[in-house]
Amino acid sequence: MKRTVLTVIVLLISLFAQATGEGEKGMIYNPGKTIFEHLEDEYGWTVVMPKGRSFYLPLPVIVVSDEGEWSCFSSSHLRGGKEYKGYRVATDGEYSSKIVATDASGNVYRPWDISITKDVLAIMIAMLLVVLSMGALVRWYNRNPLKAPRRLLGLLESIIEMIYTEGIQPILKNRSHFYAPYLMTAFFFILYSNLMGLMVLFPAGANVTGNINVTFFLALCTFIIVNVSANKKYWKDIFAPKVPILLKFPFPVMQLVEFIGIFTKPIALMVRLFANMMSGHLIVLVLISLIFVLASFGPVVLGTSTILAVVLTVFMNFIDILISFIQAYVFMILSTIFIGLAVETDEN
Amino acid sequence: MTLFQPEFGLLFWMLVAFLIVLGILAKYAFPVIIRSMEKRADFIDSGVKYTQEAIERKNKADDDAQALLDETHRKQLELLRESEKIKQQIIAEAKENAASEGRKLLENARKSAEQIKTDAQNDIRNEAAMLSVKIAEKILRKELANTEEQQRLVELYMEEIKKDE
Repeated sequence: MKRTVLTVIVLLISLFAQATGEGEKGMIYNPGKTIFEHLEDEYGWTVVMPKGRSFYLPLPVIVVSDEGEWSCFSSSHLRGGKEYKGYRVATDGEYSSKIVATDASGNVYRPWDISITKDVLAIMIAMLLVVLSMGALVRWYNRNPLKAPRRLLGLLESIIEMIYTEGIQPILKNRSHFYAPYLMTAFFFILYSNLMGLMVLFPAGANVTGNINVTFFLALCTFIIVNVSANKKYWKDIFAPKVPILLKFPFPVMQLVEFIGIFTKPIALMVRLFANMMSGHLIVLVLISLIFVLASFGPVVLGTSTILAVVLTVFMNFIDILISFIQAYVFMILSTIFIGLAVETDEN
Repeated sequence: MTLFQPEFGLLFWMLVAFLIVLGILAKYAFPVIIRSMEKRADFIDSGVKYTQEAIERKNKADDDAQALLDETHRKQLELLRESEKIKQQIIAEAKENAASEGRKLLENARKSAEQIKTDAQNDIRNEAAMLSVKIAEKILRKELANTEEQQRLVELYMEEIKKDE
């Protein structure tokens, strides 16, 4: 066994040694740029195919210029830094990798941009998957009213059972039916996006939940629901909390802390999900980049680092699967708790 | 860094997609799923309850059957004992009857035997009387060959008869 492993390692090292020998000498690899390009949104989707091939999937670009002129065209027109209808993808500056336009006086500005980008498409695919999987479950129930689903549907149902009867119901009690659709939609969207982000092949592979806009939107939803459904007790606890008078009267310390808390809770939700998912992608990208960065140190270092990087990447992917579930659950359960705190009355 | 910049387009599409999906799921999916799950849970609960009740009923029925069996067994024993007693009684009665009947028969037999004996004695006696009368007649006939003698004898008898009266 030991000898087999050793042989495989030596073979791999020699393989990569050969590969570097034939590689391009003059190319300078910039890991930071590559990593952030991967993490960011794009205007088209480079779909990776088997055997190292790839093709460019153009996506619609929808922009409104400052003059109020709508334009809709394929993103392939902007590929490679080309300019189309006065729009181009900025390569540096404040709007790096976003579409910019130049106005009459020569100033570069950002137009209203509602393009279907890579992340938007990935969001739609994830949403579609959520609807399809729930639809499959509903169809099962309509066909077999009193039978437990099998296989994947059974897994789906046990997840719903777990988050509903063990997460939502004990906290929200008789209000569960009202808030459950939002919480479960958010949960499944986050879960599916997280898991799809770990897969490389199309239609998965986009860094959706590692995009702060998505997590911002979800946190905003929780924020709005919490504060809209909040009752008198919730506001009383914030503006007239039951604490010693010195904490309230000369200077409203407690009120200030509680008031800031209204905003920090959803911000924490937003940052937690974003940072977790983004860092998962980041670590994998860094590990892969390590291979290319260390290429100049010679074949032995490269071979060892390749094996190390691949092993660590596999390990990280397993952890990311775990994190995908945990973060989706944490987002859902914290939203539930915040709603629960906002709607709870004195008797419960 | 654009990674942290808010992006209007993405937010817009996220809002649209999320609201549509939430609308569809809230109307058609989650109520059905939750209701079905709760219904099935209730069904299973009632099934378990029903089974428990059935087990209890079965145990009770078993106990009842056992009690009934014991009771029957007891009754059977009692009946057997009773019939044994009756049997003994009948046998005793039969014996008694047979004995008394036998005694009666014996009595009757003895009586009839005695009767026969008495009859026979009477017959013998009569016979003997007849014989003696005949003998006496023969003797008398011989004795009373003479009249004197006869006269004397008649007188003697007359006297005897008178005395008897």
